[in-house]
Amino acid sequence: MTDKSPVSVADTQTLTSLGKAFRSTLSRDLLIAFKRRNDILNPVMFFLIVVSLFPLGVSPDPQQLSVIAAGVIWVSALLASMLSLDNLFRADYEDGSLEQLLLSPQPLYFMVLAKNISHWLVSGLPVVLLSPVLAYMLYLPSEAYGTLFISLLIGTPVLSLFGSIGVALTVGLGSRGLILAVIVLPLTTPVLIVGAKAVADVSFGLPVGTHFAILGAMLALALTIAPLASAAALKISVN
Amino acid sequence: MWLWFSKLGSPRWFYELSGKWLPWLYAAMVVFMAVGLTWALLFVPADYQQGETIRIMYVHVPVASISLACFPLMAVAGTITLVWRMKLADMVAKCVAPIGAWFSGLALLSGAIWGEPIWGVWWTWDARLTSMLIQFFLFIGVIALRSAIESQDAAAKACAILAIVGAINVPIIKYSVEWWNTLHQPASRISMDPMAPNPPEIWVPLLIMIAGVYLFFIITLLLRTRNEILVRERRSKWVQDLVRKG
Amino acid sequence: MSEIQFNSLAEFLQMGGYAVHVWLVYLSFAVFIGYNLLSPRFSRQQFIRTQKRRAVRDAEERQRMEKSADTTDDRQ
Repeated sequence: MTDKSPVSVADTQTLTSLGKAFRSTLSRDLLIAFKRRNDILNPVMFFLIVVSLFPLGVSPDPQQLSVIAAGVIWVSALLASMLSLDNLFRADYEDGSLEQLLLSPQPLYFMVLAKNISHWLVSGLPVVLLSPVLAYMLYLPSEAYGTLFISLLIGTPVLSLFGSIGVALTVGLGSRGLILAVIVLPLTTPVLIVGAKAVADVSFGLPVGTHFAILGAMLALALTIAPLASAAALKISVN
Repeated sequence: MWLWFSKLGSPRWFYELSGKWLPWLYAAMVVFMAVGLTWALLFVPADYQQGETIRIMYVHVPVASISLACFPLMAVAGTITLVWRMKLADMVAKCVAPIGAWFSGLALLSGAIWGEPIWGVWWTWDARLTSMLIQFFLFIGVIALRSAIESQDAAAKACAILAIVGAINVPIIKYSVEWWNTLHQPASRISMDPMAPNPPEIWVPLLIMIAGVYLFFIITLLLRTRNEILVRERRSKWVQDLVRKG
Repeated sequence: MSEIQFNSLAEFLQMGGYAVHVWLVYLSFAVFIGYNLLSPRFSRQQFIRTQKRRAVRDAEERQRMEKSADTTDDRQ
């Protein structure tokens, strides 16, 4: 026991180093993403293409499209976030920096959370921002725009967080194929249900306060559980 | 208690003990099933609304209720695998997944068939059927993850995590599906509520069938787990002796 | 316990017009039980068979190894 410094000082020191590590992970991932612009563009493009397939496949009739608009946009956002998730840990796994992250003294929970946030900022947020345009193209009733935007804003981080568990579990596999979707999609059904229902209900003129409260509760639950599960899964996958 | 716990963790001990249980379980299952099935098919009075389709309940309800127990069981076994690294718990977890998929599948099939006279169609997005469908998908996901990971140890831990996350999610799925369904409720010609007050000649045979199907679940789980023990312990002397004899 | 609900076998098989529904469910229940009890037995037998074959092959291998070891010993 040579270290005689008061506990509070030690605590603040670890706190600041934790904050620093969190911020540096976040900014590093953002920087990498901006250097590889395709990683940002691909999920948005995928989202745009999938949504525009529906008028071609169903019918260009405004009445039919406005009925399915909310569901189509929500399902497409779900699929876009699923596809973009693949590169959440992959590059780091391949170049070994994931192992470094696991060995670092900082709690893995915050490091995984930082990775999740940066990933959502580059792949989830653009989808959310583009959604009003697509809503217009699908003749979504104008009073539902705000609800769609907010529900996607709260909902897509939940999708990313749940998805990160699946990615962490499968990152070490050689041929992953569709296994990520098979594992993760069933877990995300509650978010899809509540999100799409919020948009549908507001089109009928119903109040949607409860929907947002439930989505918020799901986000809180995902924020507490998902990074823990992802961290545990990463430890298994890397070793 | 701890001695018992570590002993139970020994696959060989479990193999030998379960071998002693199996004949009794088989006998009890045959008795319960025989009484339950005869009662359900011959003696239960036809429902004044549903007619003879009430007899479907004696398959559907036991299978569906036991399928709901599979995910929590898998999560508990997964937790034991992660915390105490007990090999046996992972073998049970591995064997529960396909059984859970089978039970969910039959619950879906019998539920859809039962629903046809009620709703007039073979499939409807009823809350119970929908959440059962999603539960079926979750089992498929666990099975897919297990088969995708080559290392047995990593597969055990990964599936344990997925089972725990899934078990947290199952009630959320159930409630959100019920909530989603409140507006879309298809007009049902006949109310179908198993919790409705029923006379004992309806629910006594149902309890007997539930007991019978539970015994069947335990037997098939034991059979699969015993096979898994043999496969994983195939290099040990006791399994090789057993192979030479059998 | 109440009485048997059917007057004849034909009536029992008809199930009040719901024969397809009721018997389809009971048939799938029988398949479900049968498959899940029999398939573990088959895979167990399969396992024992392959292990026996492997044991025989291993024994032969060991003999051959010992023989070849003997011949090399002779040359020395």
